[in-house]
Amino acid sequence: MQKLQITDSILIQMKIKNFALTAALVLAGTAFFQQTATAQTPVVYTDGDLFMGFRSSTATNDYLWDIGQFSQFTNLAAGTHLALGNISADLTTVFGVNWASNNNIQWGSAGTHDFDSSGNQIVNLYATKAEPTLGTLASPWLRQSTSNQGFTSSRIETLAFFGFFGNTSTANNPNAIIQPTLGTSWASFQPGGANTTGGTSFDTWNPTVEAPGNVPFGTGIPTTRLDLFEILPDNGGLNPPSTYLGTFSIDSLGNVSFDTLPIPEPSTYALLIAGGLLALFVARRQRKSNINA
Amino acid sequence: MKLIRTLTLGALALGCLSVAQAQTPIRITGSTAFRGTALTSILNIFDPSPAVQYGYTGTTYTSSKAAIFLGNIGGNSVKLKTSWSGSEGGIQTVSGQITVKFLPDGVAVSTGGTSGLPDPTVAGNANSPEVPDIAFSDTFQSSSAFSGTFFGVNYPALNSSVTTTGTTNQIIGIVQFKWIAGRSIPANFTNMTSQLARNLYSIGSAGVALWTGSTDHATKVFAIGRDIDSGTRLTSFAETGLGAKAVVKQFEPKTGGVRVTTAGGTISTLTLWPLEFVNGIVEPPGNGGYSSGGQLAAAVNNFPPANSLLVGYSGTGDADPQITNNASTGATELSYNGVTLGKPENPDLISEGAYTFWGYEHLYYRDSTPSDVATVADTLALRILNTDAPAPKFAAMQVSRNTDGAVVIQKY
Repeated sequence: MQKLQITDSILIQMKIKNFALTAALVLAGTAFFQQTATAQTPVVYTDGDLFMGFRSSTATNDYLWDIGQFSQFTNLAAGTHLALGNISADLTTVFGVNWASNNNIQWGSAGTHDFDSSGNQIVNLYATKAEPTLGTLASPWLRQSTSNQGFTSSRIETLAFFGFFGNTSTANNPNAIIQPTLGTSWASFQPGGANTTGGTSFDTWNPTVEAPGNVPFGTGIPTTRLDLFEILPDNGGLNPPSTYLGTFSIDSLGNVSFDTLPIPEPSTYALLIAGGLLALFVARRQRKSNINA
Repeated sequence: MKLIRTLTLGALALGCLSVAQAQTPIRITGSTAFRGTALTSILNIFDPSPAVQYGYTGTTYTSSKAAIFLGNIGGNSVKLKTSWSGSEGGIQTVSGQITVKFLPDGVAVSTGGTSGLPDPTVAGNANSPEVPDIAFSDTFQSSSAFSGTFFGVNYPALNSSVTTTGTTNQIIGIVQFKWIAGRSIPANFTNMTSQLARNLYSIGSAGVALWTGSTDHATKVFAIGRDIDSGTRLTSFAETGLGAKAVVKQFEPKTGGVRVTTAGGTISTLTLWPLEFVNGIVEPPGNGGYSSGGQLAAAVNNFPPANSLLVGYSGTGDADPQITNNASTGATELSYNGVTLGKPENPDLISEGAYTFWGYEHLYYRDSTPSDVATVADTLALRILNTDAPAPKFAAMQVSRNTDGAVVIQKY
């Protein structure tokens, strides 16, 4: 079997990308970029990268963006704000200038971390879910067995290597492509797409990792938010809930950000309950003393 | 007068030289699953006189990895070379005009065929990198990754404006596939379903209970497969609903730290196929596989490690030599969705639509292929279509499908 010279070049690109990503994380805590015209280069994918996809029921192309490693979204303190970049120019190219108010557009994010640093298969999954109403946390996706999650990982890797890797980036975002909705595109793995069955995302998430869940709906994606969950395999057969990591949002100017919203800890719940009980106790005492008086 | 005679003789000599030099080079690559039929047919299209001289790698002509032929086709002198890279590799290298390693000029040939030539695709062996002209493919180019732009390279449509008169979409026959299981399988391990294939190849291994209904959760079945240059792989994944371009998990059988490529031994380890690059295309860990159907079928025909069983997919030509249907002595043919193709194959099961693990064999070349090469390609295509293709022939099919893995529908 032939091995072409491109092999080394791709490997170097992968290494450069890893280095660049590490540097970006160290310097800024996130991979923010400004949408300015740059050289269009072949995009690369590294295990553990998360994709963010945008599609419209009325468009022939979708927009697929490799937003970087999962690790930038994990173990963040509550209240952390990450600015991921501005994609207005690309969304305008794909969906038109009124993309922000177009109620046929859906967006979502998913990824797989297939192997640990030792090469062991771990199949950690990452997927978003639309908030039912802004500010209300989506119910978490459930964790599945290693085998089950491996099935999903295979689907995401098919998108990564046959739908994304090696394609030419947009002029505005070195890690994103505009692709026909057919073949092995982001859209093809979403409900109604050719590479998924039963109206699910990646043959797994029912109904979808996207917001809004159905189109046409609402007044555009800036009025939606996506909660991101880390879905580690669970082989106990109980399918416990996955872990909430934070929330993606996009404003009408095309700025995409990730925020870790404060989720009450169990101890906080305990304090609140204790405080409530104490207040009830005090009120009752006061009422009793008033009656006695 | 003497001068005129000298000039005439000189002109004749130059003419002879130019005839000798006008040997048309033709390079053929592509499907390993169909190479047996292709090689048989290649010999059949050479003129009987002067007798074709040829040489090939390995010991069996019809399963050789590479070969070279010197002779005449339709009265024209031809130097024809074959090097089988897999169907997808064939489409990629013919459309993208990427070199393939062929046998070098000057190797030993004879009228009866000289065997044992060194495989030019093996590192260290003499080879001649040449752009192939013709690709045999088990799949439609439209199903292939090498259609349009892929990894920044443009792969133009083959035979888009120049086609072989007498063929439909360059289809020359039916290529047939089988699921095979390795040694040590239990007696009730007899069938492969689309569902099981999707499960097994998405993950790489699955419990044997899924096949047998037993409560044995300790023994696992491991997926063995081909690399992305393979049309057999594409057909297998398209047919089972996994997706023609699915990224999967396949295992690499090793003995003593060396990849197993022969039959009859004992495999010591099974690990995910390591990351590799095939013709510049990255194959992440687990997604790689054998570059040859023959090696895959042979590898499956081994005793697996404890608590392990092996399953693979293969063209019938590569599978049949390994099949004994006795788990102690060889590989076992699995029925597919409950239908057993058999050994020898029952062509009615395919032509009537009961067995669906098959594809259309195509013969592709570039629109820009020189006319003398295209003429030979057309001759070969029609010879296979009308005479040499194994049963069922394309014309005998009572069912059809619109693309690889598509629903099989009756034609009547």
